Amino acid sequence: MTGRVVTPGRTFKERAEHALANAGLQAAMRNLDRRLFTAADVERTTPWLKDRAASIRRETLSDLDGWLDRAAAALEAVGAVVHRAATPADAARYVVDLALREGVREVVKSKSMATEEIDLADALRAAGVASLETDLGEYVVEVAGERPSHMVTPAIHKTIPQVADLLTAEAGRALPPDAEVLTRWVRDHLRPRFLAAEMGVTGANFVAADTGTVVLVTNEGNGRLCTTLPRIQVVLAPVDKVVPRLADVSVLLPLLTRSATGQALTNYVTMITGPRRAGELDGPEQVHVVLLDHNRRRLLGTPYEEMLACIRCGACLNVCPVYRHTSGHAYDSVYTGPMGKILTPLLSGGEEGCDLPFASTLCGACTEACPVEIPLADLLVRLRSDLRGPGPLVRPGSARRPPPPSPSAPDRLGVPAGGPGSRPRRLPGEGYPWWAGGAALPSPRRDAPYGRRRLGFAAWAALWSTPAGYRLGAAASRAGARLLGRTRWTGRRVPGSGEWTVTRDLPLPAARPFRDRWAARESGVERW
Amino acid sequence: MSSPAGPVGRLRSALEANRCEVHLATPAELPENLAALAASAAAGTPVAAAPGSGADGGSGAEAAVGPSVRRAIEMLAGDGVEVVTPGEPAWAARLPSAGVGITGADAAAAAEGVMALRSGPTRPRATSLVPPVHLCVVPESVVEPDFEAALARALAGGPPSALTWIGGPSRTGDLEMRTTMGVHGPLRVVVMIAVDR
Amino acid sequence: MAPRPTVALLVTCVVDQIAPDTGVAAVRLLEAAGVDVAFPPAQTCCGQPALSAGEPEAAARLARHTLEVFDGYEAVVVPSGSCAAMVHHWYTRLLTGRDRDRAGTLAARTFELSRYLVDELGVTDVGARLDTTVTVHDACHGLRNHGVSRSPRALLEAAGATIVEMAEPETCCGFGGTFSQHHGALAGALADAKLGGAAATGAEWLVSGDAACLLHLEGRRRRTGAGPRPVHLADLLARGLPARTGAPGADGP
Repeated sequence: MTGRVVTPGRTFKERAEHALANAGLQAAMRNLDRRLFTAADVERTTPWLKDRAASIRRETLSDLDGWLDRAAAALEAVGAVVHRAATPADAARYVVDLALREGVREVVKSKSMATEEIDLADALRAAGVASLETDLGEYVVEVAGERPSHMVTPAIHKTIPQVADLLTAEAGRALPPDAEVLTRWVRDHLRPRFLAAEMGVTGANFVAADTGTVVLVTNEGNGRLCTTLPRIQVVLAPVDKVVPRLADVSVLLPLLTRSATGQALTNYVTMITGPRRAGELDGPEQVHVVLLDHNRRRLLGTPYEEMLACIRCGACLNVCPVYRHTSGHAYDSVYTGPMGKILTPLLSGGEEGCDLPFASTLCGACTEACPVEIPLADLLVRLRSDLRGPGPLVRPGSARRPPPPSPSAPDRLGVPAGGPGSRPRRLPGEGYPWWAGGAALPSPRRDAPYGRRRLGFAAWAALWSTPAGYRLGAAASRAGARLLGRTRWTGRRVPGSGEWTVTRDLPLPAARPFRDRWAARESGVERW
Repeated sequence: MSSPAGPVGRLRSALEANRCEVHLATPAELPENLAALAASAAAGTPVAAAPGSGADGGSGAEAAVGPSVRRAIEMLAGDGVEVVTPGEPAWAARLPSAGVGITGADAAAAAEGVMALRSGPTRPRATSLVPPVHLCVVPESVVEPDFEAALARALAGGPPSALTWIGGPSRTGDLEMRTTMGVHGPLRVVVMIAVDR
Repeated sequence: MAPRPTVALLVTCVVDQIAPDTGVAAVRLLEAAGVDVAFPPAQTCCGQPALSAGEPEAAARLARHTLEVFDGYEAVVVPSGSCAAMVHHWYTRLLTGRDRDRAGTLAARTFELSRYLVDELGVTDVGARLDTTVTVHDACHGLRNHGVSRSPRALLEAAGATIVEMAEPETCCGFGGTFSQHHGALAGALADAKLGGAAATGAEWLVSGDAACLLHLEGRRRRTGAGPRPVHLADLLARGLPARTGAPGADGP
């Protein structure tokens, strides 16, 4: 990411350790309200919401291409310009070209994770167009030169005194660490820029395919200002934002806002259907909607398709014990928390964030909190097997690229490419449920089926699937433990214990395993 | 007046929970009460009034309150308060200085405490956005029990170019998750619910 | 008189090799509750370490072995929520065809220890008497994939223990299997949060149904001195059973 402060550390592990040692960050993260409104609360108060929401999402995903076509047609019918962007670079280029063509000097942006995904602010600035974040939390992180650390509360990692220092530098006069004063200063400072900006860029919470309506939610009103005053509006909508009908948002919106902030609805919901109409005094003259793919449609038909149901509520972040201790910057990705751990490797085709799925205890709190019932913990487990290991599938700068899906690989329905009668080479693991569906990632199993990790665990499983092999292995580790003396606990690092002993004492095998004691009891030597 | 358990009563509670100031007014009371509220909120600055007219694609509910609001505007003008309306050339120039913006509402959801405003030639979006005080007149007839019903009502006749839902004053929780008011939208939202009796 | 039910004990590799006293305690509790226990000696490991490392084929191999070993028993009892959850949640996802059917059958007959006693057998009072204060850690996989929450508390209350709930009983302790080997600092921080929450209750014991979580927490407590003593539910309840004759041969922690 050009121009952004890089969090110290090359891996999640290193960045997490920095985060743990950062007392200010740890204090700030304690403000994160873990249980604003959980899936269990939704179940209790409005149980029909989850079921209806899940069914709307599944309906959309079962024919995403069809819904996208309908949405594009509806948007065009109400006078919006639609651009389908396959990649982030394509999307950014479209917006930059538009800005330059229209003589735009400054863009105001309303909070949008998709604009982070395409690095829009950097692309605009590189082309000489000023870009201003208007959401208060996003503005703060922009001033700090950082990325948002949470998709709903982007500056959760900052304390109020830290924000005061940051904005004092910007204001050129001392601002006190008082939330009211700081809020007032941001309002007054940004207001003239809203009035002068020629282009407003927003994301979209939903895009309705029947009416061509873009739906945006904010509490602050910056979304409204970005879509009311500038003469050109750009909406950056990832393809998974499409919903079949505008009426569907009466189910999805309350679910989103309850899960995100505990509110029944956000303070503002803006539903935009095309540019201003004849006779209207405000509203944009042009509305451009960029539909961004970025490897999302590739997930259809794979077990990872479920991730496209995500409504970006942030509930999984709020309950994740790892996220709460490390905060978003440890992930070094646009999307953080459990959903980010899954989405980052998938959207990048296995090139980024490959250590993220391993940075989880798999506790399942995320699955429990998700209002649209995405099995997040299961997807993390699945990703661990689809990624060869915590390192990237392709080392940056290496000549070797992952091959495209093999022509002999079965297609999405499992039919071999040569037709039902042909027989492609059978690879290890095929026939397991893991192989159902198409390839969401370049597959290490097809690339190099016999990596070191696989061989190691295959050998372990071969040994331990026989009682004799298990007893042999257990005896070996007992023998090893005896080298450390007749102790139950050790502080010393032993082979296989990894970083356990960095922070804890390690328990050693008992001199007599349970099965020996059982045998002794069966033979009457021991009584319980 | 309407009971607390009815739709108007529930809307009032929900709006107040969202930090709106809520008043009820009968048709007889509405013009004078509205004028008094607007004058006090404006405190010497212009009043921007855009209640809309039924002819411009709104929900038609303005027919219920339009005459009362226009009467209130006359009273304000009579008291020497500067009032601008969208039809006038002065609208664009004076709106940024206005201390209060008056609008109607095309639908309201009692359970969630939100009001829906359709855009139109006589209903600029900025009226409820730019001035620091938003004064919203909600006819009783547009109050629905919940968001789903209110959405259906607000969309009747097809979606407008902008349908804006408002729950209360602008706010943020971005600073250590403490709520502060008045970020980019109005700091105060005053709701006058026009009830039949 | 109705015959005593027989269950097969899936002792788990962690309990077998590192915390065998917990296995002994589990057997004593079951027998005190009127259940006969069988121990199929060919059992090895449920396969969870392979799965969480990203090697489902290796996990499936161990799953198939486990299916063989426990075929035919009317109930399988496990003194670990996460191993029971492995059988419940993952076996049918890992296997295909006939193996998957057998996995479904096994899952329906497999129970974590406290859930077996309370929900299957209908017993909360196993004859244990405890005069102590405890706080409960709800181990993640047992809680979320196997519904272990009410049953440990029911057993503790029936034994007369006073339960003081900590602020976040269901938040992960930081063990997470391979996570605690690769992310030592984070695992320690999560353990500190759990031990701190437990300490704030003033309880004498931190009770859980997962031996691995407890070993991780005890290991951290030995470094920091913070928090009440972590103990397995079975071990604590067995302490409260009437004394038995004979040498227990314990090599406890």
